[in-house]
Amino acid sequence: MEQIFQALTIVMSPIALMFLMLGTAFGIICGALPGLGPSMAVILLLPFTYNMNPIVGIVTLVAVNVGAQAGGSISSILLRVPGTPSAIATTFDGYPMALQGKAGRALGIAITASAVGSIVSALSMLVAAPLLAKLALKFQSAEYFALALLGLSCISSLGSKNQLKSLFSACLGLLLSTVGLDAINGVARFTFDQPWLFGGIDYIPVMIGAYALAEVYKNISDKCGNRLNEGELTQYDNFEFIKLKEILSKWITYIRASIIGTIVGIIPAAGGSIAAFIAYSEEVRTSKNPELFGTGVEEGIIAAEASNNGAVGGSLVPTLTLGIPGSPVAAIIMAAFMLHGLTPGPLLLKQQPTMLYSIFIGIIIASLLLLFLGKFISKEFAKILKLPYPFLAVLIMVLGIVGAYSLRNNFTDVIILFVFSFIGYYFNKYKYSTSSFVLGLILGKIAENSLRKQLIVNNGSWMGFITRPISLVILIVSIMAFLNPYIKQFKEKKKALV
Amino acid sequence: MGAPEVKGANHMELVFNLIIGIFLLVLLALSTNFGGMKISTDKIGPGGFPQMVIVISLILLAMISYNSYKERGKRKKGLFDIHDKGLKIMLLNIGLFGVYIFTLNYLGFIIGTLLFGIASLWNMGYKGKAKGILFVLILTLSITLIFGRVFYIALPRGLGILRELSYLIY
Repeated sequence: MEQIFQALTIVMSPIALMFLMLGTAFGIICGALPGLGPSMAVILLLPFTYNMNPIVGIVTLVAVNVGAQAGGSISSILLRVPGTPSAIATTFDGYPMALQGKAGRALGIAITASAVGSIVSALSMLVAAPLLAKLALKFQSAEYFALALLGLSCISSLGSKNQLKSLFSACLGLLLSTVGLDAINGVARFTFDQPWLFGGIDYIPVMIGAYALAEVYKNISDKCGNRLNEGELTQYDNFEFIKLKEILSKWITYIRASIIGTIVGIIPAAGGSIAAFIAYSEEVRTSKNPELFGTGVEEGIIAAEASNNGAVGGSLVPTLTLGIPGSPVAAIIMAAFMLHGLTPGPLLLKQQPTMLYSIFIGIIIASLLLLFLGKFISKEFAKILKLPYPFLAVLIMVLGIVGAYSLRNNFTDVIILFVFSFIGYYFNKYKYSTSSFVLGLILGKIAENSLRKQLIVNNGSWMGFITRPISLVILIVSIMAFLNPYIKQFKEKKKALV
Repeated sequence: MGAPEVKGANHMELVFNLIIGIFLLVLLALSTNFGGMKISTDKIGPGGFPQMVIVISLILLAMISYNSYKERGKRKKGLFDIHDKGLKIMLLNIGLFGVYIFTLNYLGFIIGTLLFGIASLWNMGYKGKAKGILFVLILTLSITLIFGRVFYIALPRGLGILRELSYLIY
């Protein structure tokens, strides 16, 4: 108890609060700008923490991460440009809500869900950090494969309009993920002797091209051709604070997604984007109306945002308790610990218990600040929606290029963006699913590598996937999640016939 | 009044599907020749996963094409209606965007963005010339300063004198 008071004294000091606020605001802005994201935001602020009190410095960096994860939703909802990879799932229902003139509400839901996700993950850390870290160590290739399948299972719900095309899109994404050097035996696959393809195709330029630029092409064609502006983002209602009563009415969604986010965040290398897909998939599976997802369902935004922010706290659990970073951002935060002369791991908790409590409290304060800062920052971003469409089109195209280029300062990413803008346009036009395609691309590598690794470890036996309890449970849930929309459709058809 | 019926709309999709199908078959053929180190317990190998995905894709593509063939002529509007004014503007804009991308390394970010922005606004029929130029100028400068100076991202600098000048800004 004494340590909690000590942590409160440090984190609630005016200077620490000021840094927390600046860190959260900086994180939101970086998250909302495509191509920057949480890692870049934390790296950029790292040098400013050198001379700070170690606890204040680390807590500020954690606040940046909390802000950046939430900030990614702003451009996802307003422009269909996911600011961070973990905000891809937010576009599924966030952008359709914005098209319906409910951008302010969608942003309010996204920011609230992010805050709830972070708070739940902080509380989970506080209660069960060492236990959760042990759970993370139980995740091996079989469980990673099962997790990837669980993430992929939501393709059946994303393609409610045309299941075949949705599955085909996901297959193309999976196929694209195999381009580059094979992670197991180093053979070049589908590289056509082009060195720039050896590293594979990054999903961020693909995502910006297929989502944002394809949408711009469509809008230019519609608006400049003076056709009916169907699906035009013309109005922005004010940022809407979500009332406690509304949060409570959907508490299951908030808590379920936050817990999924925390657990997936704990697993090293899984991260917020996988957490968001799994939480989204689970939400669809448990929903009474799975066919409505993708058309602007609030629960879809809550699931995506609560889980990706839940992963923030989750990823710090193995970092703090075992010294194993759970995500790239956690690795940078681990470096910050070392810069301050601290070594994360079991000893840290014994030697510096105040640090652990300070981080929890810092996450909770940053989450509360999110609600207020999110309103002002998203209001400023929303001003761009008032621009005439030609201005907005130029802005998105230029931002898309900068977003793709700034990933690796590599021009090939810009060309990839350009190529995939056509594919996205074609997909939109013929009702293929861009979301399933991106999902396949993101999860393909994890699915293939963990599948093969598990087979190698098990001497080629497939039994490893079902004899490991966690893997078996996740596999069963994945199959149920995948089949659920089909079963519901079948039942409805049967009912209609009766 | 609805959009005019274009009978070739689904044919276009079928042509695209055929191209994708041929491409997938080429990839399938390539995937059978992946060499590399052999691991006896790696039953799938480097080619196994892509082959499985390609086979499933081909089956799905055949089913999609069959459905599309059944519904031929039903679609109201095709992908390319060459008489459509909006489509022409869009294609020209994509052309401008392509030129912008491929000249970015020669002209640098600032000059390239200024030229692309103005040309694109003009192509999209934006009438306020002064406002348009002012917008493009503000956009270019703010992105250059935010990404180049605040976030230290080395945006394309261009060649020769343009490169030297860019160092003065970011």
